[in-house]
Amino acid sequence: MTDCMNAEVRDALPDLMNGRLGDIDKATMTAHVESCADCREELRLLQEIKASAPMAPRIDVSKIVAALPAAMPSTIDHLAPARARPRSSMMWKAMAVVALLTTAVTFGKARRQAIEVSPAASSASAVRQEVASQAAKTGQSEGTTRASVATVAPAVVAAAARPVAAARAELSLTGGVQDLSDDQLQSLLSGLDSVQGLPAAEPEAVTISLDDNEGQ
Amino acid sequence: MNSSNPSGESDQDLIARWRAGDSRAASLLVGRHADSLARFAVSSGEREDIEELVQDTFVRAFASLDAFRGESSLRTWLFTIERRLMLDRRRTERRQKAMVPIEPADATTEYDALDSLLAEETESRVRKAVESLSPTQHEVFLLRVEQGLSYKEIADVVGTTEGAARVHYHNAMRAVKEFVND
Ligand SMILES: [Zn+2]
Repeated sequence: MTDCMNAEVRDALPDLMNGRLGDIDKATMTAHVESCADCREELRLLQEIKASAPMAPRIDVSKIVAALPAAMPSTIDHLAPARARPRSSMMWKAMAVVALLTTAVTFGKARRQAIEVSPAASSASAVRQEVASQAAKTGQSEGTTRASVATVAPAVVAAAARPVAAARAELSLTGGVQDLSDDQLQSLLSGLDSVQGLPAAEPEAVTISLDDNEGQ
Repeated sequence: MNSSNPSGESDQDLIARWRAGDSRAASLLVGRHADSLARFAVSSGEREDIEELVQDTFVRAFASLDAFRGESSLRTWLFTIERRLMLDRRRTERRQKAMVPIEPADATTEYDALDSLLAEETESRVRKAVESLSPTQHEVFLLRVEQGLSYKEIADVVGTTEGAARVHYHNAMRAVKEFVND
């Protein structure tokens, strides 16, 4: 089997096979293929390859539709200013990332500090509620939310041992998301992608230096 | 290119309808693309939980429809998400395999070996040629031949340039011809 010298035609053979050419291109291609044995041969090979594809199972559309997230309130008001929609949705995701990072950082500290401190139960539960509600508010995928909440439990033990103000300073990071630029939000989101793709058994080490970190 | 449809409504129209709260639009969108995604998964070598993979693809796509600006087709975007999920699966499988030592005398291993031997016998020669391609050539070739994507769309899905996608396709085609003529 030799190759036709007309590179443009060879390029478009899969498009001819898959019906993705306009009328004029299709007519030109068909005329060429009819007069060119090499292209006829190559087209036949392409058809044979396509026909040899393994059978795929039938997909239950209704089951998938039932699993889809509901259209978010922010996406329903599509008459709202164009900027508002993507921006606010990005915000939700970014808040989830920050909540995750916050708990991961706190968890890291907890492991260092847990031995020396004794927990103050009442403020621990206050912090737990606040973090859990932040995670719930983000309305993100189950995996992310679960990861946040799961790491909260050990984290609050140490967080409560430090001045509550310090713990709240960490949590207030969530509020600052509104001040982030598009680029910063995007980089947070790409972080979210990798977090969702590969859920780790433990939060990954995050190096963020916080104000009260070095002074102790 | 794929966003328009003989039945009238484009993917963009349906996305707008879904955003406005019309859940029937979601059914139409899923129905329009689910089979292609399943075929791409199977051709790519996925054998288990195909429906789960396709579902995950749609769930992720719908959860972040705001990020989809319509610069590429929805179809291209769905393939991009599905491909990423397949890579994640393979990475996880590799990690699990590295942790669990394989017992050569294991009964299931023997069964699998026999199974794949039979599968190989019934598999056509052209299919074997396609399976023998390098991973990159393989996915570019499948997207071009079986899914009918343009080089630009393939470049978007696999994260390369249009020119590189074209080169991969033609190298793959040459390799397939050599394999078949051997
Ligand atoms: Zn020719």
